[in-house]
Amino acid sequence: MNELELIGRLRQGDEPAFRWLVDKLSSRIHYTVLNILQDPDEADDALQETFIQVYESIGGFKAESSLSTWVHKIAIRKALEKLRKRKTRQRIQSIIPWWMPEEKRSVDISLLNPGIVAENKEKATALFKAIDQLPENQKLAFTLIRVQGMKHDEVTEIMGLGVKAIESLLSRAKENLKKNLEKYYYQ
Amino acid sequence: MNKHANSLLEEHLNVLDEIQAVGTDHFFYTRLRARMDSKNASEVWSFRLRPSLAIPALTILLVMNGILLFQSTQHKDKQDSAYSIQRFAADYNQSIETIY
Repeated sequence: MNELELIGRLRQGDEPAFRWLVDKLSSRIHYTVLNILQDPDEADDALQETFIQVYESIGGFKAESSLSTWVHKIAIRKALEKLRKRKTRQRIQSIIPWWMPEEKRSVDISLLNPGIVAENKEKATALFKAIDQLPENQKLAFTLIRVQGMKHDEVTEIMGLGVKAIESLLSRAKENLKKNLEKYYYQ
Repeated sequence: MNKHANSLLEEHLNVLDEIQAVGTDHFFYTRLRARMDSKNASEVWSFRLRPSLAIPALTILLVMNGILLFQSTQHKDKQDSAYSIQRFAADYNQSIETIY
C-alpha cells in the first residue's frame, strides 16, 4: 500500500488501514515518547492519544511532510504536553505538599532501556537523569539523534528547525550534560 | 577539568550503544480501540451536557414551569371567587326564587 492510498483509506475511516498504520509506526513512536517521558505508563497514554488524534484529524493532513513525520510530530507534542504537566504538578507539589500527593517515579532504567549490561546500569541511570534535566528543545534534539538514532534531516523536519539550529542544540545539550553528570557524581 | 568532563560524558554516552529499542506490547491496538470506543460513547453525553445546549434547555424548562405555576394560581383564584359567590348566596338565602 503506498502512502497516498493509505491516506485516502484513512480519510474514509477504513479500520484495516488504521490498524496497519498503528502496527507500522507504534513501536518506533513509542520508543520516542518513552525516551522523552521516561515513564512507561505516560508513554503508552501519549501514544494512544497520538493515534486517536491521527484518526480524527487525518482529513486536515496536508501532506507537506511524510505521514510518519506528521505522526511523529503529534506524538512529540503530546509527550511534551505531558512533560510540562508533570513539571507543573511537581512545582505545585513543592509549594503546597499537603495539597497534592507526591509522585513516585522510580522506574528501573533497565526496564525502560533493555540491553544495558548490569555494570553499566549506574551509568545509564546517571545519563538519563542528566538528560531529563536538559531544557526541553535540547532534550528533544539529543534524544532523537543520540538516543533514538534518527537522521539529522528527519529531526529538522520533526522539530521544524534548520540543520544549524539542531547542531547548536546538540552541542549545548552536550555541555549541559557534562555539568549535570558532574553534579550527579560530585555533589 | 574539561578533559575529565569530556571523558565522563563519552564514557556515559557509550552506554547508549547497548540500548535496544522498546516497542509496544501485542495488546496496544486493543487498548487503543477500547479507548476510542469509550471516547465516542462519552462524547454523546458530553454533547448533551454541552453548556450551549444545556442552558437553553434549562431556561425553557424554567419558563414552562413559571407559565404553568402562573396559570394554576389564576385558575385557583377564579375557582375561589366562584366558590365565595356561591357561599354568599347560600348564607343570605339568595338562591330562593322570587315571586317577582
